[in-house]
Amino acid sequence: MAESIDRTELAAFRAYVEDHRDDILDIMLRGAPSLQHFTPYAGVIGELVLEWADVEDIVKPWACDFTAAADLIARKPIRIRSHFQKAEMTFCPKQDFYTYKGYQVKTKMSATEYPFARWAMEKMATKIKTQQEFQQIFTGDYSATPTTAAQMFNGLLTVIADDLGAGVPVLTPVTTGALIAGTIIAQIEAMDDAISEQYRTEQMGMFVSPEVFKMYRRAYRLAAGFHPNNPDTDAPDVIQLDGSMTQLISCPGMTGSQRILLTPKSNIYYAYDQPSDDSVFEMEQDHRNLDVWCDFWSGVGFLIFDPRIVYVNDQA
Amino acid sequence: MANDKKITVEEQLAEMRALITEQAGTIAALQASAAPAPAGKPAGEPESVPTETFTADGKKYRFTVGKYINEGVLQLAKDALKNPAELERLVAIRSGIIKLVK
Repeated sequence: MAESIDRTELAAFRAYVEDHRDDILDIMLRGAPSLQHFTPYAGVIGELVLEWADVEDIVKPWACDFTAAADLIARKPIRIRSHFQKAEMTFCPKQDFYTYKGYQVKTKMSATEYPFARWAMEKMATKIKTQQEFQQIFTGDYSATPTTAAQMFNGLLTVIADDLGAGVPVLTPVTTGALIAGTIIAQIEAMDDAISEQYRTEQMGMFVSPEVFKMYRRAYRLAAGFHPNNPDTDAPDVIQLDGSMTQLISCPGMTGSQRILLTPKSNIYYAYDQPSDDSVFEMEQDHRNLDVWCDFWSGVGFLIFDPRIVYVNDQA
Repeated sequence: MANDKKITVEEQLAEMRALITEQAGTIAALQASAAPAPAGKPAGEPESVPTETFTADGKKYRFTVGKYINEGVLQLAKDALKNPAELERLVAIRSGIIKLVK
């Protein structure tokens, strides 16, 4: 018996998503600008527990006695977390025929040719990355009963503010004072000077808002008569600090904040699931509508939250 | 023969992922394996936040952190409370580690 449901359009849309799977995944799961500077952990669904070790001094003058001390290595767990989220939309592709856009398409055109629906799906992926950048990565504020993207997990700025506001903070802020154009160069360099010399060879990232980044760049230009060194001409959002391995990085999601976050780039993780299914987006046909949705896991955090490798300034 | 067993791409990928996860743990351990904090850097138990208030520029403030770094040197908030010049400096630079008490 023939089935009453015509799945032709659905199949055509699925083919479109499959064809563009990599592009859509790239935009959606790895597209937020700040994520480019973090360490990606694929395949994290829920929680992945690793560990780091705090090793005491072990070198001693030679003697024939064997005197290995107890508890030389303190092993501490690292929890990498991702959080379950969704995005969904309903389109009516044929609505395009009913509006002025209908004049731009031919009748009986296949679903994959509907320009608006394709465009909307690409925008959906783009919106996910924008929300990640501006609502989650830095400013996310966890709620036990989340109703918005911003309440899924604590962003990096929230983790720092919560720690400094706690009775016994883990981090020790560097007193830069309020960041202003006249003193920004000295303030950025004071942060860099706070790094333990044991980490001088480590590639550090100094994450700041675009406002602070531009303030530094313009102040440097004014003081030196030329632009600061850029390690990569293709990355105008990164500046290599003078005489240091540290890179000053502009993070759109930190906008409005005077916080400076300084840590090895490898110390901030971005965890996400790795969809093995061919379709990033799931879809179903509901009469004339197409329901499109995407379920995914993502999360951001510090690997090692320790004052020896996470430095912040005293501004919020 | 044992060598005849063919490994599928999925199995190879799974092995590689397991290796990456293991190595990431080792890298994190190595990164953190530096000796105890050097002089002038935080060491030992974190200092608790002093509850005392102080007055500068006619306004009352209190600290929101127990310690901070000033020009690369670790300062304890409870020591800074005894140093009027340091308190005035913190107020002057609009430092975020002190809070206005209403």
